Amino acid sequence: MSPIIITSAMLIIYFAGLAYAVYSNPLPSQNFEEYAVGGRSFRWQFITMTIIGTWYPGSLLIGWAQMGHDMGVTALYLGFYTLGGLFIFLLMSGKLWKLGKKYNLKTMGQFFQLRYKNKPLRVFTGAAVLLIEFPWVITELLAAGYAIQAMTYGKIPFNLGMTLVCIFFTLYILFSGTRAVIIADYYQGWMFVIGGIVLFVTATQVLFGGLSDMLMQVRDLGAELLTIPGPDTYWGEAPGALFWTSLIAMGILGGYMWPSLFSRIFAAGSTKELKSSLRFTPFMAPIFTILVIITAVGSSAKIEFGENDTAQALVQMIGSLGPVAMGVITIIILAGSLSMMDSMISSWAIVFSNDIVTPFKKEISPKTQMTMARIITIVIAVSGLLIAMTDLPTIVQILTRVYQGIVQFFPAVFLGLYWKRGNKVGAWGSIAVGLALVVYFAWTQPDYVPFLDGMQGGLLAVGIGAVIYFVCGFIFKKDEGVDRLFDDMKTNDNQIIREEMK
Amino acid sequence: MKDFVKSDSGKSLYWIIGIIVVIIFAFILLPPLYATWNRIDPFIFGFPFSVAMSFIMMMVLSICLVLLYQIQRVRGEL
Repeated sequence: MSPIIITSAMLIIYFAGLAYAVYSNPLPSQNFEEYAVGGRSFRWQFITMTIIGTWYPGSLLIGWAQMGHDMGVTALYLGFYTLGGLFIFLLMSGKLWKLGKKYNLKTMGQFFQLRYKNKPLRVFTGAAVLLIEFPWVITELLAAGYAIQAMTYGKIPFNLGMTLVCIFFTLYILFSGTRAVIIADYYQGWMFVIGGIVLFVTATQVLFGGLSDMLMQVRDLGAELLTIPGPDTYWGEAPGALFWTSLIAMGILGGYMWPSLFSRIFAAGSTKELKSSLRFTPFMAPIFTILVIITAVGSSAKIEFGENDTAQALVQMIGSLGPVAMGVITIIILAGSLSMMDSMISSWAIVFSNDIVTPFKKEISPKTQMTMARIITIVIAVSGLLIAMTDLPTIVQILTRVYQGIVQFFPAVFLGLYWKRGNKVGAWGSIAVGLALVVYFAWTQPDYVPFLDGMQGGLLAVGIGAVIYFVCGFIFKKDEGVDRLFDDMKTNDNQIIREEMK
Repeated sequence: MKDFVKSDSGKSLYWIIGIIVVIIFAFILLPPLYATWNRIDPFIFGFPFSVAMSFIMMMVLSICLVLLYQIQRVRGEL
């Protein structure tokens, strides 16, 4: 049987499974709360997998694998920032969930309005986070395009593959709410983890005789791949010692500021369910991330992998095992991309409706909200696809640049949860100055700043933003009603449930 | 053990874990420190030193996260 028939059949089965998930969990037509946060009813297993699905996108196996192939173990920064991000999650998620439950929050903008009593900040935040997270769609479409091209052994060109996937993803997202998304993410997350581990271990065993032997071969070919910062550092340039530091710090501070992850905090059934994801999620970093990156580093030991385009090196390596392996790796990438895209687009629809429209038009029916959500989905998909077809930097370059933007919200969110004196002037100051600096650096030195020894401009900006936040906290008075909010954050789940029953 | 975690002295566990986490992140993040583990030899269990150390540090951080969650759960602070 032709390999392409086997891989195509596997792809059709995968798409049929997704269609069934949507069919058995139809989109609620009259309840935006159900659409947006799935009724805040999900148990920890689902929250865990949706976080994994959003944290480990399809671009991991294309973009970060390319970084591993080209720069070696420097790509392990992903594992360190994943874990650092989980510490931030542990520190802020319980407080946010309690406020979300009591005040019916769904977005970061709503949290800002509640915390800082400032409606313009809510609208600005809504618009800004949407613009900053948008490039993720492009990177996921790129990953999906690479996967389809590899799976069809080049029969479907990159742009056509990307277009086909984009059409399917858009239809899926149009007809599924958060409930269907989270349920699909649950199964996709398992497939991503189990399928990935089995494939990578098998590939290294069959092709190199094991992980250890593979790394020996890498050392013989180019030892610098096994130390930081790698052979030619950042695709031909040498940023400096603080680049590595900066990459990890940005990931830690910015990781849970993305609207797609922020809104997931509100989807949990309780703080216990929310934090229970920490039983399993942390071990993904040392096991899964290291396995993926090390296998990608190993792909550089054979010249045929990534010969024409290093972004495809890992897929080609796995695909060399046969059509079934190629089908599985493609589906894993598509599952990762879809998990990421559906989480993003459904949360963007919520952000747009809640933070940009609702503040100006109070009477808005759930039906209108969902119509808006669908229009946004189509606009994002079409514009993302068109941009993805242009000449772009590598996936990791795109993502490290957008991280510099989203991280500017960290002081206002995190310090706002822990410091009563933090106020709206500080929040506005830190975000506005931080973003202005990021825009400046985006034009001048988007990847790193040479005179800062390779530190990214975004990290400098967030540091300045934090200083502004503190200074304003001491100069200006605290916001009205902040004491009550801090009392609300001290309550436990049982008290919240009792109040709700009253 | 549960009684100790629930007691006032149990709060000291947060400090112990916090200090471990800060030391590991300082080791990872600060260039003069990461240089000490950023080398290939000696291989540990067949892995280059940098990879083995990355794995060990990530495992310790993961265990710290799980412990923090369990302590919060036992103390009823979730």
